[in-house]
Amino acid sequence: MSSHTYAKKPVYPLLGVAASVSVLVLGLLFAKSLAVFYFFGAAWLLFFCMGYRRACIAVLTAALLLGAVFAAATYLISRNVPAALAAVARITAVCLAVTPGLGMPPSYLVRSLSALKLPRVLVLGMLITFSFVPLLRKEAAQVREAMKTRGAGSIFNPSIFYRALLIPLIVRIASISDTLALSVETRGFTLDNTPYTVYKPVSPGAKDIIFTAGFAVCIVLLVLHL
Amino acid sequence: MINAIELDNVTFSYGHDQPYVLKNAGMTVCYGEIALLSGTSGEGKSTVISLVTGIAPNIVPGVFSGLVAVDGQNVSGKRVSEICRNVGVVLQNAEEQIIHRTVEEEIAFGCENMAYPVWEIEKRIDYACKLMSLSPSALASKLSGGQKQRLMTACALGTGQRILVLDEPLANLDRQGALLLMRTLKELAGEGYAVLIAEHRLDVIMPYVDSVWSIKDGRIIKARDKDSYLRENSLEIPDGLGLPKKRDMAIRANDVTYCAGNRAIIDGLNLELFRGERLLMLGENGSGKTTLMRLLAGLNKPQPGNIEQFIIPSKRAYIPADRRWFKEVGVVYQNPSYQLFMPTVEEEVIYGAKSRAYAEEILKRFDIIHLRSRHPHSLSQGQKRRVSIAAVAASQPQILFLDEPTVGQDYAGLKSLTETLNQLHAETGGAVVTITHDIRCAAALCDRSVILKSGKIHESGGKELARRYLSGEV
Amino acid sequence: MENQNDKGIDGAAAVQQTGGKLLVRDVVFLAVISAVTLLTCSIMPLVAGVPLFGLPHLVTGLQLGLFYAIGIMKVRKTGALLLMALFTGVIQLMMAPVMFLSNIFCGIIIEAVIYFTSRGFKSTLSVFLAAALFNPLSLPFNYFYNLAVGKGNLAEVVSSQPWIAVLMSLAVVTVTAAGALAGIKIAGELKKSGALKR
Repeated sequence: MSSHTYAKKPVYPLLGVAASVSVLVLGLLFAKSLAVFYFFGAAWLLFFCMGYRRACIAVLTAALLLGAVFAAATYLISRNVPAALAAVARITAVCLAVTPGLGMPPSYLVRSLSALKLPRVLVLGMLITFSFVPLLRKEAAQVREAMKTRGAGSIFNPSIFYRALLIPLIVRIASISDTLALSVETRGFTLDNTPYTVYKPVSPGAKDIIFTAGFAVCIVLLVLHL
Repeated sequence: MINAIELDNVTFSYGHDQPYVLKNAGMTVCYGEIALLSGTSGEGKSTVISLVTGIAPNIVPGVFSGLVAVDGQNVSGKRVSEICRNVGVVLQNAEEQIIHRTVEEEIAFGCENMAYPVWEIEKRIDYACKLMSLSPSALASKLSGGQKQRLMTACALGTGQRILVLDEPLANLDRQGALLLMRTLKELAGEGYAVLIAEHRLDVIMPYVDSVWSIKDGRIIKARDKDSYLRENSLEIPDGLGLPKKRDMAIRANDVTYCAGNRAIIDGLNLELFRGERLLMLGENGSGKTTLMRLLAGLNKPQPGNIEQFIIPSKRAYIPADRRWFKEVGVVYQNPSYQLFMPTVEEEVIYGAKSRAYAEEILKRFDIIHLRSRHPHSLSQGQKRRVSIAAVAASQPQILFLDEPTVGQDYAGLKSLTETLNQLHAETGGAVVTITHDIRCAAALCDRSVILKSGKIHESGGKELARRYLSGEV
Repeated sequence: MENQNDKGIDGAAAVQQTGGKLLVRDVVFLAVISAVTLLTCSIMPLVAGVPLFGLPHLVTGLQLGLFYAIGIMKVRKTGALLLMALFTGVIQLMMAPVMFLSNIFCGIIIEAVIYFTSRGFKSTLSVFLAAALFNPLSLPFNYFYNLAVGKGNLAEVVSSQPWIAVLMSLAVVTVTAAGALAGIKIAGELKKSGALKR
């Protein structure tokens, strides 16, 4: 997830997750009905108005591209237009369902879970998993480069290749996790019931009520046109 | 008067069958002072920090005896999170510790764990950001290496402990960043904070410290005076080689530029590297040394500009950066962990060596023959570094690039390593390019030195330039 | 911090030392391993739309087996697999919610089986079984989900040409098991060297 798609003020995270799940399930369930496209259009517009502009544009681009590919592929195989449209509907459901996730900074989700008093072990773990993907990507690239410098980058020598890739990578992962664990513990983090504060807790607000109402309208639109 | 930190008759090893890291060691740090803990990597600096913060033996197990007291209280039996309510800790490798999106959230993390009320957390964030010249809303991922280090320092300052312990805080900081940090710590010491810094970059830090402790052979010894300590620890290793016989051109960089984002790290640079010479690259953190080395080694491509190579016959003169290239060009990374992957040291050196016999010779020359059946990742950082240099040198490259090869070496080890590198250089007649901050061996590893500043070569010279630069005269 | 030359110790001893309780360093390691698992599985969305049963599982089987095995070898405590499943699942929650449910479901089942049969991850066999079966176990879950939400073509393939599903399932099991074996081998080697401390 890239920060340039984040919304300035996303909806309450759990609402966003619920919307995501709903879009996916409803989209897949009613893929064979043309009414689902009304639902997608309304949902997309709702996300757009709620501040997920960049995420919506990214998702639209992906849905159009992938939709065209899958429609063409399905039509070529089945020679059946409804089947092709259903394929488009399914891929659109998958793409649109990603919108709330693309638009939400992971820390926002984590803070809402903290406010709900989710066990700290889960909150910390999620935060780390979210945050460390870019760093680990760099580490993996560094390892691949180091393999090149030692002449160990060829997949035609698999035993050397796997050793040169995995051994340094796992050693680095262990080192990084040791440093990080020390860092969080020396900053007072514990897994027991020691009292803690949640700075800037995330709770539902007026915007979320509007979003919920809007989403309900989208579902009504779908049902009406089935 | 209560001491901020006190070690009394401390003995510690990482296991019953492990050698002692500290033996009957003692030291004190008072409120209102900045104490420097000095020593080469592997001597025990980080162990002392671990003991003071409770990391050892609570998280990192070991065999311990003696007394460690923080703010007059024995830390034995206390958990790390309890001890760290009195001691703010700044560890190395800031990038590996950042888990939040913004500066504000990262600083708030420690305050949340200590259950400070929200209004107080806001105050502390402002205070810490002001001290470390950071913007609270800045994205942590967009900070430079030095800024990330300052962020972790801000996290420690934000939680408000009056005892601060910093482990190699000047790594990744340029001179300006280092001076900002040291001035801030000096002010805090003036306000009654106790500061303990473990650091090996003595030149920058010396003017700000009040006392110097060094670790040697398990003991912690207080230096009589700072100047004599600095002199003793800057003892230069002699260069056994004469003037180089400059041969043909090896690499030529023509008007090379390299940008990261909007910033030109290398800016229109021209450089010639000849076979037979030893080039030393100097400069502050962020000056472009490592980037230039990577460009010359073929790991990055210049944009724009070009780099011509005269090492391997090729239709084009540019660097192919393929398997053939890296057979003739050796690159030793700053962190040896990336390049070590075989099950034993012996196999590591044999892999890529010109011959088994030569590999055996390299093991002897680099004084790692007694480690031959050890797993490379079971070694100390200093030993790993030797092994990684040996493994790359075993392929007899025509050009050898060394990024900070001397970290973790004590004087004897450093002398031996320097001599071995110079002997190999004399035998192969190739070129060696080194980046180092180590004043003890910099002159011995170079015939020519260049100082990089703002992506350009600021000054060029020989050994004398290296000496003057590393002692702060340039 | 200086490298310690600890000798690796077996899983039972490691669990005994800490009483089987998950520590901060365990959770951190599992989270970092989950992040690298996600990174290496990022190929999956490219094949998710292809209507071939088990293809996404096949292309991610090696990585899942490998890194989950390493995670459990390092943290040989009950809950290690479920935590990794949860951490990877939460990211997937925002992209493909069904995968989150699948992760949790499979994680709970495997943890329960391992707990009641071998009282946790003390033996290497239990580590292997957990890491090797996690990915394939989500195949039937996937099938029933597709059936339920009418992703008919996928479900139809399974029922009309079951041999494809059987072949793909076998392939998924084989690939994931290979990954698990490799992970156990690497983790064992690094634990002995002290690089992967308990």
